[in-house]
Amino acid sequence: MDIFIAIILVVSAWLYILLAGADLGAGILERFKGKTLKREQEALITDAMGPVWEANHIWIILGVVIMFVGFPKAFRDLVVFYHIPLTAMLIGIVGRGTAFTFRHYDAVKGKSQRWYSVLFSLSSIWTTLWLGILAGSITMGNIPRHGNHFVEVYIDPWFNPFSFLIGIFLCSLLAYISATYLVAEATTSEGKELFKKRAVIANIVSILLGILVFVYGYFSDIQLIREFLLHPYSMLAFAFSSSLLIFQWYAIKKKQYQYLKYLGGGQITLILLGWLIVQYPYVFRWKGGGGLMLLDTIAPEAVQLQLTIALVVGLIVILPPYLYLMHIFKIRK
Amino acid sequence: MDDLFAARSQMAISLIFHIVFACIGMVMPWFMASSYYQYLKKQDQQYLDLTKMWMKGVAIFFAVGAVSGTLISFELGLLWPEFMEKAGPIFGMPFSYEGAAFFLEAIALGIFLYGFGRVSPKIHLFSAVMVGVSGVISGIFVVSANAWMNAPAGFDYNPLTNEYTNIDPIAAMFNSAWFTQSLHMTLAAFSATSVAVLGVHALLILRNIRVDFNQKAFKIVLPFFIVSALLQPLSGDLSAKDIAKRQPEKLAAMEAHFHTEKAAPLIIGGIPNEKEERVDFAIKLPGLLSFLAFGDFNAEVKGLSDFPKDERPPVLITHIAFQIMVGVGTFLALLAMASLFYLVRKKSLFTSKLLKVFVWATPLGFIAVEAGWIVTEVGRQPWIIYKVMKTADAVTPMPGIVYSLWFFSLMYILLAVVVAWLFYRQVKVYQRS
Ligand code: HDD
Ligand code: HEM
Ligand code: HEM
Repeated sequence: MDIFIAIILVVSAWLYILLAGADLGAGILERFKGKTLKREQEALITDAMGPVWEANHIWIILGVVIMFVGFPKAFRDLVVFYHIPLTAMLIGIVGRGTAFTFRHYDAVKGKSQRWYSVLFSLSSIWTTLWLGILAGSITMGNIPRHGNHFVEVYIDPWFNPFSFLIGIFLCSLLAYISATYLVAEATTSEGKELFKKRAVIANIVSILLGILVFVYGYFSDIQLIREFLLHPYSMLAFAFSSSLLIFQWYAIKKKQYQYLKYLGGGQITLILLGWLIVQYPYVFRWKGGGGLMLLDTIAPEAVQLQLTIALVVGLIVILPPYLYLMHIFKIRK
Repeated sequence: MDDLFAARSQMAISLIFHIVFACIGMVMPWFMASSYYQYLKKQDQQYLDLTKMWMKGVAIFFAVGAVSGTLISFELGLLWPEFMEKAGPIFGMPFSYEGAAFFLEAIALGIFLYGFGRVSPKIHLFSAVMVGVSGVISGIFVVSANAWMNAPAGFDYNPLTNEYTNIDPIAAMFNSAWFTQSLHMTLAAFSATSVAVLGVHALLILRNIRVDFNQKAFKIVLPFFIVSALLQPLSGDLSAKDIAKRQPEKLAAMEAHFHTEKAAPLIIGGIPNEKEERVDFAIKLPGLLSFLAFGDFNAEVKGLSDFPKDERPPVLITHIAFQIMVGVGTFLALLAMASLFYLVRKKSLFTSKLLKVFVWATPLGFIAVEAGWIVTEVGRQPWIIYKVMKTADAVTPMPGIVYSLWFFSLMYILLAVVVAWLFYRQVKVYQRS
C-alpha cells in the first residue's frame, strides 16, 4: 500500500511536469515570440490551454495532499527547509494563473492586454525557474540536519550555481515540450513553421544545457550526478532518452508533428525516471551523509488504507470525465 | 511583530481573501445552470446572453479562487509545519476527497466554458450542474477539515510523549462539528453570493439599464436567496447550541459572557472590557442566552472567568464579529421574508422600495461570512487543534515570516484591486450592449 501511494505521488508529479509543464513552456515561448504572428501565437496558446488549464494544475494539489496525508514527516521537512523557493514558485503560479485568465476574459481588449502578456510570460519563466531550483537543490541535498544559522539552513541549500543551472535547464526543456505540442496544434502553415523553429532552438539549447548540467555536476562533486553516471539503470534511461532525440529530429524533418509531442514527453519521462532511480529512496539528502527516506515517513496503516481508498475512488470518478475532456478538446479537433 | 503573529495574520489574510472567491465558485454555477436551463427550455436569447455574461465574470473569479486556494494548500504547511505533520494524516481525508471534487469541478468547468457548440446542449447543461455540485461538495469537505480543528476526533493523544496514536481518518472526518459547520457554511455561501448578485442587478434595474434582461437575472437568483437566508438563522442557532457543549469558552467569548450564571442574559452590542471582565454599553435580555444555548431559560452558562487565563480566546474581536454576523443574518432573513411577501401577494418587487434595499445589501452577506469565520477561528485561540495543540507550537521554525506577510498582503491587495477593476469593466461593457 505504501508503494502504491508513493507511485501515485510520483505519477502526479510526473503529470504535473508534463501537462502543466506544457502550459509553463507556452508562457516561456511567448517571451520569445517574433514580431510577426504575435496575436496568432497568443490565440493559439489560449485555445490550446484554456480548457485543460485548471485540470492540469490540480496535479500539484493532489501531490501536496498525498504528501501531507501519506508522508507527513517528509512533508514537514520539505516545507520547512524549502520554504523560500516554494514560496517564490507559488508567487509565480499566482501571477501566471491570474494573468492568463485576465487576458482572456477582460471585457475590454485594450492596452491592458500587453501587461497581461508580459506578466504571464515573465511569471511563467519565474515559476519554471524556481521549480527547477527546487529540483536542483533537492538533487544536491545538503540540508544541514542541525544547523541553526539562517543562511546555512534556509538559503545555502538552494542558492548555488547548480540549482540555478537546473532551473534554466528546466525552462528550456519545458519550452521545448510546449513547442512540440503547439506545432501540432497550429492551424496555419506559418504557425507550424514558427513553432517548428522554436522547437528546434529550444531543443538545441536544452541539449547544451543538459550537457552542462552533467559536466558541472560531475566536476563540482554533486553526489547524485556522479551516482547517475555510474548507475546502470539510470544510464540506460538516459541512453533511451537520448535515442528518442533522433526520432524527434526525424519527425521534425518529415513534418510528422503529431508524433513529436509524444516523443518529447517520452524523453522527459525517461530523464525523470533516471533521476528517480538514483534519488530513491531519499526525499533529499542531509549534509554529511544519509537522507530522509520517503517510505520511512509513511503514515500509519489505517491512514494508508483510507488514502488508498480515496485515491482509487478518486481515479474512478475522475478518469472518465477527464478522458472525455481530453477527447473533445484535444483529439476530436 | 513576532513570527507567530505574522504567520497568523498571513493565514487570516489568505483565507479571508480566498473565501470570497470560494463562495462565488460554489454558487454562481447554479445560477448559470438555471439560466442556461431556461434558455434551453424557452429558447429565449436573453437567457443565453445572461448565461454567457455570468460565465465571463465567473471565469475571472474562478481563476483567482483556484490560485489563492493552491497558495493556501501550501501555506498550511509553510506556516504550520508542526501542525500539518501531526494533523495531516488525521484530518487529511476530507482534503483527499476535496481534491477529487476539485478535479471534477475543473473538468466540468473546462467543458462548460469552452463547450459552446462543441458538445450537445444536454451534456453542456449537465457540465454546468456538475460544476455547482462538485463545488459545494468540495466546500463541505474543507469545512469538515476545519471542523476537526474545533472538534478533534479519530485519534488518541498522549501529551507526555506528544504522540498521536490509533488514528481513524473516517472518525476524524465525521467529527461532531462537521455537520453543523458545513450546513451553515453552505447556506452562507448561497445567501452571501445571491444577495450580492441581486444587489448588482437591482442597481442596474434602478438605473434603467436593460431592464427586462436584469429582471430575468433577478428572478433567477431570488429563490436561492430567499431559501438560504431564511434557513441561515436556524442553522446558526444549531451551531450555537453545538458550541455551547463543545467549546464553552468560545461561546462565552462570542457573547462576552464573563461570569458563570444561571438564566444568563443575551448581550447585544456593547464593548467588552477584558481586564475588568465586564461589558460596557450593552443591551441585556435576561435569560435569553441560557435559552439559546441550552433551550432552557434557567440553564447555567459558563463564563470566561471559569477558564484559565491562558486558555481564553480574545473576547473583543470574537464578540464584535459575532454581533456583526448575527445582525446581518437577522437583516437578511427579514429581507427574504419581505421579498417572499411580495411574491406571495403577486406584487411586483421591481417597482417597490425593496429594490433599493437590495442595492444596499450587496456586500452584507460577504461581510457576515468573514465575520463568521473570524468567530470560528479567533474563538478557537489559543488552540490550533482544540485542547490538543497550541497555535504557538505549530508555527514554522523559519524566522522572518514578517516579510512574507508584507509581501502577501501587498499581493492580495493588488489582486483585489485588479479583480474589482475587471468586474467594473465587465458591467460597464455590458451596459452598453
Ligand atoms: C452569510 C453569512 C452568514 C450569516 C447571515 C450568519 N452566519 Fe454564522 N457563520 C457564517 C456565516 C453566516 C460562516 C462564515 O459561514 C461560519 C464560519 C464557520 C462556519 O462554519 O460558518 C459561521 C459560523 C457561525 C458560528 C460558529 C460555528 C463554529 O465555530 O463552529 C455560529 C455560532 C454562528 N455562525 C451562528 C449564526 C447565527 C445565530 C446567525 C443568525 C442570524 C448566523 N450565524 C448568520
Ligand atoms: C475560508 C474561510 C476561512 C477564514 C476566513 C478563516 C480565517 C482565519 C483567521 C481569521 C485566522 C487567524 C486566527 C488567529 O490566529 O487569531 C485563521 C487561522 C487558521 N485557519 Fe482559518 N479560516 C477559514 C477556513 C479555514 C479552513 C477550512 C481551515 C483548515 C482546514 C483553516 C485553517 C486555519 C489554520 C491552520 C489557521 C492558523 C492557526 C490558528 O490561528 O489557529 N481555516 N483562519
Ligand atoms: C484551509 C483551507 C482551504 C484550502 C487548503 C483550500 C484549497 C483550495 C484549492 C487548492 C482550490 C483550487 C482548486 C481548483 O484549482 O479548482 C480552492 C478553490 C476552492 N475552494 Fe478552497 N481552500 C480552503 C478553504 C476553503 C473554504 C473554507 C471553502 C468553502 C467553504 C472553500 C471552497 C472552495 C471552492 C468551492 C473552490 C473552487 C471554486 C473556485 O476555484 O473558486 N475553500 N481551494
